Amino acid sequence: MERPENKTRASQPILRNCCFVGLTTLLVTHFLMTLAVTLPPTPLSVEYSRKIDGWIYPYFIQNWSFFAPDPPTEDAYVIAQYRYKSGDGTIAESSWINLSRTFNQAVQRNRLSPLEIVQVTLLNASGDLVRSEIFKDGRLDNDLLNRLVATNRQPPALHTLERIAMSCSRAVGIPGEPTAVRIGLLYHRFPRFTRRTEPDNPLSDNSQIVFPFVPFEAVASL
Amino acid sequence: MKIPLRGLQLLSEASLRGAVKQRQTAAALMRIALGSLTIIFYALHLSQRNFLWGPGGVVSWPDNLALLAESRTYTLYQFFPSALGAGCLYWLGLAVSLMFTVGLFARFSSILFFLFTWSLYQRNWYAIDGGENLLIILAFYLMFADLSALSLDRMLFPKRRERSTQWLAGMLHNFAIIACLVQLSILYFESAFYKIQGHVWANGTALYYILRTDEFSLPGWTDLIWRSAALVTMGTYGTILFEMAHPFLLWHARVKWLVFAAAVCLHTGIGVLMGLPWFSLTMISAHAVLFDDAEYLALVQWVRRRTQSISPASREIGPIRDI
Repeated sequence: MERPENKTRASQPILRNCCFVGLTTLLVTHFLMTLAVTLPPTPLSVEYSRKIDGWIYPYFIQNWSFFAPDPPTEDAYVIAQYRYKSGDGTIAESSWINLSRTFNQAVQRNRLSPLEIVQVTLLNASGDLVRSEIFKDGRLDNDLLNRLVATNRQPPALHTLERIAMSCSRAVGIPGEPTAVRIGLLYHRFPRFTRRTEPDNPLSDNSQIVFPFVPFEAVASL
Repeated sequence: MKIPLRGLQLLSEASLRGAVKQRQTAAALMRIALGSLTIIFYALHLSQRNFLWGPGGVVSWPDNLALLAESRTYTLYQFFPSALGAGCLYWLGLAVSLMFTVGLFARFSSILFFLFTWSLYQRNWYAIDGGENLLIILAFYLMFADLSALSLDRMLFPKRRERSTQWLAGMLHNFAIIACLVQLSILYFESAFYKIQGHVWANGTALYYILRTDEFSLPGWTDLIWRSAALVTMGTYGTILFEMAHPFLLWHARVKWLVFAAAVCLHTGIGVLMGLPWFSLTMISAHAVLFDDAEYLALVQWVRRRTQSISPASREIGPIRDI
């Protein structure tokens, strides 16, 4: 009669081979799925998109198309304007403050600045906002935005930008108690490569998108 | 009958080889590097933790829950919706990263490391960049790898029990290492794939537009580059060439050193000039997986020989020995 350990030893190569084949299949499938979501859509990836998304999301979401196919040709800034109660009790509005520029300069002064994460947050949230439903063909759909704000369903990216502006109110020196804030996106187109040596006027070639004022909320300070 | 038998024999040989753990030093170095970066991340943002990840922080609680539901995911922070709870999770995350980095209960701490780091990123998805995206994917694969080399575990528990399923652990480890390598290849492959479709990448001026943006410039330095047509063209084409070659050359034993050196140069430039140091350090750390144990051993021996030959002590001892 065969001893139990001999039986285990005999079955081990079969088990090992099966595991090897299984793991290889899993690895190949996984990276085919990864390629399917990272590369442009193909008829095959479109047909199996639900299965592919089910496999990839949420743990393997990735996008490595850094600055491609076309890098930005303009600076995108998040700007903020505050409505505040001044010392004499009247409601006043501050001038527009360029939040992105403030954080960009902090990171330019110190490459290891902890403010880099706020710079990244501004960049990601503003990018997400432009890709959200309230923009159609690059233009802000004010009606839709107002409807969403009225039902408290504004895009999270917009709310995040507003909350960053709220947390910065003290740092940017608002002279009274803030009551409302609104943010905007300022775009400045810089010269093309062939005209790179010409002086760049920061006040020209600008376009701006402005969002409505929202009431001030208590946000943890920066 | 001969061909299936030969196939089976080849499969057996491959599975036998696949069960012997490879690149344990590489896995350990990745553990140390990625863990250290996460510790620095936690420490750097300690005073901003309420603003970035707290319940009254930049991403409001309802927004975070909506984003989590949309992406069908979770964060540990959603189960502790108070400032105290979020603070405790933050400190626990830091402690777990420390455990992971030093290799204390390596298998267990690698799972906790993934869980806590994932939770931190999911609490504020807007705050993460490509480096953190790669880190979390690699952390997932490393949960299946043997990370016990260069660890506290080896010092504290030197005698490990031999288990009958040791071959399965070895196989999982090797597949995790291959997954890290393939992931790195896909990263550069995709990056190059999209770049070659871009007009300004093709005409060699893309670097100008990148360095001209306010976020990715360093006044006084980047303008020196973008003013020079030669530097812009070389930088643009150099980047494309490197990214195109990387996924193929990293598998080649002789030229992978060059791939590594080029990656260090490229990412150092990105880190300093474009202000993305943590992204760059993550990318460089991921390249630790390129080399096998024998290559790391050879490197250590080479460094030892070099330091012995140039240290004053060895110079003094040398002649006495001769006498």
